[in-house]
Amino acid sequence: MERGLERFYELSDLKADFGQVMEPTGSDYTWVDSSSEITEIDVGDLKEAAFPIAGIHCAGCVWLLEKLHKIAPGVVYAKAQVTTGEITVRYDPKLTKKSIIAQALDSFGYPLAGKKDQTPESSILRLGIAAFCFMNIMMLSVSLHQGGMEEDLKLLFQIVCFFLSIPLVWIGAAPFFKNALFAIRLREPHLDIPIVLAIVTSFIYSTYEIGRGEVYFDSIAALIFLLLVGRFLQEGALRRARNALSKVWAITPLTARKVNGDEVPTDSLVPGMEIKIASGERVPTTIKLSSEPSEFDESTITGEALPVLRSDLVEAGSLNVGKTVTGIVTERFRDTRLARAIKSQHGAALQSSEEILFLKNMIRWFTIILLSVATVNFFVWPNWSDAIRTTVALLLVACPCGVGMAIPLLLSHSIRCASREGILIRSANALVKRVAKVFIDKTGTLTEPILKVVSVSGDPEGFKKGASITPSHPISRSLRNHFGEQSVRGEQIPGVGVRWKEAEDTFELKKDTSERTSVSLYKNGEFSGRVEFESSIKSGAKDLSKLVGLTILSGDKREPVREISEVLGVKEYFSDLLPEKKREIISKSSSIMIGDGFNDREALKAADIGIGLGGAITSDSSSVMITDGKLEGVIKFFKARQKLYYWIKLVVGVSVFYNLVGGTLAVTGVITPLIAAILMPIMSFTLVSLALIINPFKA
Amino acid sequence: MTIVYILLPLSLLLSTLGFFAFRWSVKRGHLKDLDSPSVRMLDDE
Repeated sequence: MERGLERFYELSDLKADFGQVMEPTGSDYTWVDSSSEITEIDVGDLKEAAFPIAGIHCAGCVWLLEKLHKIAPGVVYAKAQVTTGEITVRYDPKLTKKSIIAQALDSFGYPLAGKKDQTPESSILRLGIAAFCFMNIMMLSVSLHQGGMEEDLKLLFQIVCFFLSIPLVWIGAAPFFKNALFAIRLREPHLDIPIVLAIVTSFIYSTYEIGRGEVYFDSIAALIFLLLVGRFLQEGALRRARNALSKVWAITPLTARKVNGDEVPTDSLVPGMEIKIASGERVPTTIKLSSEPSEFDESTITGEALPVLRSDLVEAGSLNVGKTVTGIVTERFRDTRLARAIKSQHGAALQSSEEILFLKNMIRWFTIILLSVATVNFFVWPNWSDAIRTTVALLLVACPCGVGMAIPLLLSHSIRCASREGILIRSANALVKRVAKVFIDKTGTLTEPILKVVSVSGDPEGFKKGASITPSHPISRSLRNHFGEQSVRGEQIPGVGVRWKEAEDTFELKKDTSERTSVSLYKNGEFSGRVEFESSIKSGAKDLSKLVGLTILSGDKREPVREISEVLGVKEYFSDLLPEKKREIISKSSSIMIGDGFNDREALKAADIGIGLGGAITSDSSSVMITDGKLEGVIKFFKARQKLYYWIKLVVGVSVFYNLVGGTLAVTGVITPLIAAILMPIMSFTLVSLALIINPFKA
Repeated sequence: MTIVYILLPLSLLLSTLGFFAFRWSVKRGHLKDLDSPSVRMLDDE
């Protein structure tokens, strides 16, 4: 869509006409250009900035906002996120600037949110105005509906109601008008269109009826006030979810200690500073060690179970398990791998992914059907008064909150619950997408990463020493685990084993070529001992295979894979697979892949939903992360998916039923606009609170 | 029923006063932070 600058002037004229009327506090956004809160990143010739905005409350808003490039000149693309409340805009700095974009967002009903994550003052004030008008109108309307009043008094009450409705529609309903206008300009159906239509029709009709018949200012008031309350509460819930999400990641220390003992905030660390990390503390940002090497537990970053000896660079988030060290900062925290992983986690919840697509389609059809039924209904009734009354009732009673609010909220709430259980979900898609197959890796995923020693013959000393030559090899790790440590100098015989000398004797530790994993020790070429290993199955593996039909994908030999399949009751398995082959099998059908992230990264990426066990290294390739690396987390995730499927079906079913019944009653004139205006908010309130009560991750 | 002609403006006046009190409190930032005060009272200071 090519749009020139002239289009912008059309729009800004439009804002002059409608904007001033609807938004009494004309906001000046020139400060945005020099603000450091909204930083620009260069993307080639273009720039990108994330604007924190108020008012994103449903999938429809996300969808609309992402069409920003169609109307705002210079904007190349826009991406909105409900949970973070941010919209990321990529734009051409030659054509536009931050303040213009902010202004454009504001004129569509999405003002910039404050620097901190707070409810903007204007929305509280708007709620206050709406409440004031609503309560006064209701009080007067009760007497009006009771009837039997003197004509003069009735007229007076109606006129007062009329005047009270003006600020309500002008100021209270401004966000709905803005959203609807935005949607109409884009020729896209949005939920606020029927709402605005209902407000406008009933307002005009009631004004005409003053002094003649019945007025419905009370329905307008109830609709606007309750909708505002609903959105206010929902934004509060989202804000809370957002804050909770950021707290989950508080694994890095907020402060760091300088060498002289001063405590400084982690954010203030810049390359070149020297900091001290005591034993048992986490490294705040990437450092280059300036003291003795020490051992670090890197499980949160790499998933590696055992501590690693580091003598040079240490990554942020590593836990110092050795002695106190000092190091020189090489990176600011926000540039570290950990910070990037955190950031992608933050943006997790609702992206413009597929489940939003299904919601979008439902909203689109809902709006189209509602508007057509309303139009037909309007022309079918023989007299004006009935036509308007039933149409207004229909527009008021129709509640799109099931798909528009409840399901997105249910998903973002579930993601929040999951993070409390140590399951980090990057895309809500992972919770709802149906798949044909569930693949699982064997080594490290179904079985423990460390081999279990099952039988020993010969001198343990030899195995101890041999293991120290290649300390990171899985076999060495399990030997060290079993026998303890003793270092020796030696060399590696690639693909075979290790060799070292003691006095006149030459020792060799070689991997056997049998079906079972075992190593043998040779002294001057003569056999002198053997250790046999077995991979132990992780707890929960059996329950998992009972819960979902698994297919094992392994790079291991056929025999051990067959054995484990038999134990777990898995019917389908593939062995001797190279990573590329794994990827090929996975991409054949819609699938979930469960892996521990080392050799499975390609496979995790190829699957529709990748479930990574362990640390942050899997986070860039998987959409779900089980932080403690246990299969119990995977089971919880699958159970939650089943529950969510049920809940979503229920919510959709209930809303379809409600709308069919409510709509029928409205067009047949059984329910008045007033009852409709009460029913609808009750319905949305019920569904939204339901979404916030459910925790699919609780057993 | 003539009393209504006095009561109606009076009630509107009172609620308008209420509204301006609310507006004043919002402008003064009374509703800016609703979470911290509940925690702040636990501080010793």
